[in-house]
Amino acid sequence: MPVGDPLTASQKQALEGIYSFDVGSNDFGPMGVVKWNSREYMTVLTEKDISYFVLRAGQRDSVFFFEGYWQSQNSRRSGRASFRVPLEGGGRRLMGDSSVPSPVLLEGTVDEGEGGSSSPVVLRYRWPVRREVLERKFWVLAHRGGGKMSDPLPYSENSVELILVSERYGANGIEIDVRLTKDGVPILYHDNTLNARLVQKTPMLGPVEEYTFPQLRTSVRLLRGELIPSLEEAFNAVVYRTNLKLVWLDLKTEGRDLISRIVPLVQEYTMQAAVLAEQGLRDTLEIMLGVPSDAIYDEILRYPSYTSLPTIAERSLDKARTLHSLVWAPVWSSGICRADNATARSEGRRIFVWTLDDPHFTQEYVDSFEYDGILSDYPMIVAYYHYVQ
Amino acid sequence: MFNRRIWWWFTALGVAATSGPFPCVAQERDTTYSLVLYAGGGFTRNLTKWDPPLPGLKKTGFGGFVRVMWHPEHLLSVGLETGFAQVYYVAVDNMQTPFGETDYSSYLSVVPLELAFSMPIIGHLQGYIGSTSFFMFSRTESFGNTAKGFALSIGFTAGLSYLWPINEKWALGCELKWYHIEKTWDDNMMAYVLFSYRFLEW
Repeated sequence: MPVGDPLTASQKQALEGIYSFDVGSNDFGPMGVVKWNSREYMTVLTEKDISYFVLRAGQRDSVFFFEGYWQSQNSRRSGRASFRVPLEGGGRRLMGDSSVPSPVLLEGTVDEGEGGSSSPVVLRYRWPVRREVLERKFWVLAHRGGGKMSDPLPYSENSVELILVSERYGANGIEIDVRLTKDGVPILYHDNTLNARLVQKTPMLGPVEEYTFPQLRTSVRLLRGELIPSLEEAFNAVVYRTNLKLVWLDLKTEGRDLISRIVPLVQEYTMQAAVLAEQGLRDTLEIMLGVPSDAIYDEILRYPSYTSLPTIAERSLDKARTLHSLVWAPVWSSGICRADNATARSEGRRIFVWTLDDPHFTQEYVDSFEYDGILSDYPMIVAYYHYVQ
Repeated sequence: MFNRRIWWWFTALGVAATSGPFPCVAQERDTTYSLVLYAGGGFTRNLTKWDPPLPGLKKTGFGGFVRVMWHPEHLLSVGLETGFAQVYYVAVDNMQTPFGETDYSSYLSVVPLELAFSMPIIGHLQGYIGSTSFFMFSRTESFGNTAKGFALSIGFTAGLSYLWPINEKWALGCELKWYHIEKTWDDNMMAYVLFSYRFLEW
């Protein structure tokens, strides 16, 4: 970790932009996007193999340095990364000397982990992210709190730990899966059973909803060692420890009145986030109820004043109208339905698409300007294509 | 998975089997087809490496099986097997947790359904392997709640049985079996007392 003074807001802003890889393009592609996606971490997003860098920055005297790691989601290669900004390569400019127009150079090395070979990487600042892109409200939504279990992520899907780092992958919103335990506690868990894909070895089998929250918390660990979080713990982490702007709840438990149990939590934490936003401590936060199935749709219809609930109607535009959904979310494999999108937009609805993981289609969907948000297991590539537009 | 002691027992059993002058039960008449019932029971031992160790884990349990084999006039026999085996169980009394104190117990057991192939190796020693579906059952009790779970897993079984003929129809012996349960990556070794009964021949 860098030891030095943290960078100022203006220095961070000056670093943000589109860079070219003068050295290292074989591994990372021709271009990179530098973006501060959380308060402390600078992310470099690249196209090739969905690779990215997560770096912490510091300044000591006239030296700006960046240290962290890089990871390729496709090739699964990873290692340490460190960069410096030379004094004559943008350092003076970062120190406030605007008379020096030299572009920022990020010169550094990457390795392949402990004992692995290291190679040089040089990023050269080319141009800023277009103003229209920065001003456009676009939601890069990280699936299952940041990505799925089978991907090379440091934490398990649907864990508080993963939510806390999701912004480093370029996300400004998350989708999480909600189930009810036997004793009525909303928790984050995707599958309907305890199984080896999601949890460490345990004698406990069968539907997760057959177990009480104390049973799950004392005897089950997620695959990478985390506790199964309650929805309240997840909300608490989002509101107070991230600057995420949207939470999409994928409601999994049907027929047990899940809606009435989580709506008070949604309202409470939306309000807490609003208070922080008023104080300038975070951006505004929307927490929305996904409507993935007919059973959940029917349950929402039974809820008093259901039209006031912030919902994301998946698949059917008619249901979005009935529920007064803020967002209509068709599945990506339906293709880009321009007519339906135009109708939804004319009705004042945002349009999110799910769950788009293929880089080629991701680029096509981003460049279509048809969508306000994309849900993906690879928020890094969604963010990359969004910023390089 | 296998430790040295288990291999030693396999070797010892093999030596004992091959040193006897007794004919193979299933192959004593070349032109006879027969259906033979095998049944046994005994102890099971979970061989899975637990990292980190699970507090209160009891790796030894019990189990039993029933197998019907068709022994044709050639060496390879085929049949079906089922039974019951405790994979392992966990029991912790007065477990201290952030939610209060509780007694915790959790059992995992399987009912295998196996397509088995067997072949005499030498003397009274038979080896067999099987492709197995495991019906898995769990039962967990803590905090006043009993949760039962079920899962289906593929897996395989392998074993060695040593049978000592008592008469033309009955034989008595022992069997070492190995279950591999793919879904939970569990390996269990069983040491069973075994009898066989040739209930049909033609």
